[in-house]
Amino acid sequence: MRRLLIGFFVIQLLIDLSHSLPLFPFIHYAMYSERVARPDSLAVFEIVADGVPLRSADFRIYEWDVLQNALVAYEKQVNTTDFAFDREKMSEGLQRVGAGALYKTLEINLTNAEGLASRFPLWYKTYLSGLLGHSIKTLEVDKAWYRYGSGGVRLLRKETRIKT
Amino acid sequence: MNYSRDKNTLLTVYFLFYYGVFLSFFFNHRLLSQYQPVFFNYNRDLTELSLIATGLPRYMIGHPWTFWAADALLYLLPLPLLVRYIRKGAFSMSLGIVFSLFLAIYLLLANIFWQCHLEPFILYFLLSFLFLTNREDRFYGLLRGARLYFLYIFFSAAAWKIARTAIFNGQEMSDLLLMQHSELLIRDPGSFAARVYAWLIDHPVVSWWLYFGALTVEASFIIGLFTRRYDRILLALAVLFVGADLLVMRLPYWTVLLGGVTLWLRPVGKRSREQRAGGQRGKKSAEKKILLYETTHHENLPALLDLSEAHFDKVTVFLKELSYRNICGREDPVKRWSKTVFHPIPDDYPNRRFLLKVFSFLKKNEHSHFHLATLDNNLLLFSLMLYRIPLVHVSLTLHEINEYFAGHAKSFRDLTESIAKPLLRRRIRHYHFFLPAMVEHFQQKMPGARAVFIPSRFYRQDRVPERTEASPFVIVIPGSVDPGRRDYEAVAGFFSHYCSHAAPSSPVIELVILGNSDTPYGAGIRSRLQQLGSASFRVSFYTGYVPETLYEQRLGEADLVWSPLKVYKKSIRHSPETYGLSTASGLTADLLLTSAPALVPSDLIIPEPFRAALIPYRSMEEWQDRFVRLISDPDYRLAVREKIRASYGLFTKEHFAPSFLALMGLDEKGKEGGIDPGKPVSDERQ
Repeated sequence: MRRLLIGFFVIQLLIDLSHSLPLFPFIHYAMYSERVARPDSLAVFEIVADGVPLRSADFRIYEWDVLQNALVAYEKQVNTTDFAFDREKMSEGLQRVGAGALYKTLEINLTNAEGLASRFPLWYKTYLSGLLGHSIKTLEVDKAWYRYGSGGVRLLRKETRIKT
Repeated sequence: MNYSRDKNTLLTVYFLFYYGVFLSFFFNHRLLSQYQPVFFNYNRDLTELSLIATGLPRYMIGHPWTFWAADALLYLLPLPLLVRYIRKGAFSMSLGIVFSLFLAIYLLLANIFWQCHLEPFILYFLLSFLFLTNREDRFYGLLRGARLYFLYIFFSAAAWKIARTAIFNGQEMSDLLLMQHSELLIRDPGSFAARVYAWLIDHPVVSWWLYFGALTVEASFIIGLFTRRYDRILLALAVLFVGADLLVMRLPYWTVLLGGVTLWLRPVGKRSREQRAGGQRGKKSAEKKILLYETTHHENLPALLDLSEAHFDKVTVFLKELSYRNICGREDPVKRWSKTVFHPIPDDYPNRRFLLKVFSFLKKNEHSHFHLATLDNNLLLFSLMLYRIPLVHVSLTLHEINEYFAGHAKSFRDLTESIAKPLLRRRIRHYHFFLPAMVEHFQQKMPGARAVFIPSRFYRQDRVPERTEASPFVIVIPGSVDPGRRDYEAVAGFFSHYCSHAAPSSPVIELVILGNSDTPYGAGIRSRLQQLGSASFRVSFYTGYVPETLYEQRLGEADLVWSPLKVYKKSIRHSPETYGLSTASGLTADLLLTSAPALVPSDLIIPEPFRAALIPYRSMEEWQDRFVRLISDPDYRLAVREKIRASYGLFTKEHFAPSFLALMGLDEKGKEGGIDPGKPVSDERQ
């Protein structure tokens, strides 16, 4: 038991100190320790359902968190061409250890199904309807950039991401 | 039984949190069946990537019923585990394994699909291993591991804030707040919360202090690595931290508070107290066991061993092989201390590993007492390890008082020792000295601690050979030829003067330098004394370590012991020490191996119990007459010896038993005096 515990903490420390990729259950606990610099602009997703802009204050923290995270994740999925870079690295890694064929076998599992661009807006609308407790007819999601100053915020630009 | 109670408490708290968390998933539409994801994410966690590679996430997206099945299992899987425990009072390993595995997979899937952030949930996984075992030791072992992990969550965050220099960025918290609350500041700038956050963003100094406060709270969890004494305070700090996190960052991190149960349960303490009280755990747990640690001063062990055998059920000694071989001269240590188990360690064994071995043994065998007969290296490691055994009574034989209170910063070792000493002083409250004057001196420096005088060995007349009146007259100078500790120049000067003026009929003198003289300084002294050699004066020297058997034999042959001490000396780390007051020489141990008088410098504080044996001298001329009488008058010699023997009559283990019991925190019957060794002695029954 003692050895297992020591082994566990040794791996945890090694993963932490080496800044390697986490390996559940060995993960980093950094909690806002990265030195940040003030961003030039603040990017937010603005959600308008049936013509009514949604505000975080109208949702529980966790609900709003999921709503925002889904949009962030979708954007990341699109921008990275379904995490192509990660898969490429994985493929290289497996080839390096002589398991290139394994990657070929697993590749299908590692890839999201095609047609997400058409499925996601519909999914989001359905999920949001579930949260609001009524069906939504129209949905618009914009990504907006603002500049923060002592006098408040100023809109810089806005791009539509979803419109149904 | 505490084990049953602790198990019940843990089970209750765990599943209250478990169902609390996953009901909150339901209320926040975060269950997999509510979320029904259409794609999975890469979070760059290797375990997650492996799970994605199995095809499970992709399969689940294609077969939405699996989300319902996963959620159903999430709620139902603990039930058989709980039912079995309620009915049989024991866990099923197979059910436990299934539960732990499923929980891990569900959490990974939640992170893959909607990024639940795994950090607060790791403890749910780790604590689930407690449901795999029905063994008490494993249960508490896992609980201890989970407790360390909970502490780690906090203090590692503090460490990273420092290591990544974020704490040194005055704008850090202001910028974090801006990014964290950007949506609120944009959408709802007039709300009270938005105005408060905006004020904090515009006042970076104030917000930096919040960041610093968070770091301080996180860093304070490191104390939990060394003691459980503040666990309840740490639990309160964890709650405070989570509350502040919610207010300042709007992060509902309450799920992590499950780990608080590891701070709440105090299994080790409860068990140890029961064991000490001779409670319900049978004879074995009521045993008093002492472990003695010794590295270099083996000559100081005999009295401690005699007393330990008289007052403890089990005595264990960890010492170097050289010490073991020389601990008691002619006798076999195993025969002399038959109740004691000796663990000789090779002389070249690294000290750090030796220490770890000792502490490992100490914990594994649940000793009630730990006595450090020497403490000269790895002080920081020692101090930290001692805090990991908070319920073991720790006592220390202190050899250099001033050094124990001194701080140095000339080297890394000095720095670590300077950090360690206050920790040691706080943890160790019972001290042993070889001289009564040292006790008084120490008590002035540390009034709250208990200090006792116990000689290094007891006087045994049967071990001291009777001296015949046959020549020569033997003068023994014990100890290595070290110019820093003894004034051999004075010795050489005296004999040079004596030999040039001695009458031809004077008795033959043999001078025995009973210590290693194989040094450049020793060679010089040896040469000077050898030049004085004649029919009436001869000199004996030794090179290298003098085995204890020979050492005791030669001391027993002594007609006079001479200790040309330099009373004011430097400690091992160059602190000023005074022999007889802040440090003791080996003379106090040597005297009890003979009944011969001993010549000592007059500025040495004469310890009362040795007064009959000590002849102080201010100068050679001053005691010349007495010396001549001593070597030429056998009746006078005999009278002196008789007087010394009589005075040594009090050096028995019975006489020093009360001091020893006080050192061990035991009452006169040898039972625990209800003393918490971690508390200052001033709180104790005096």
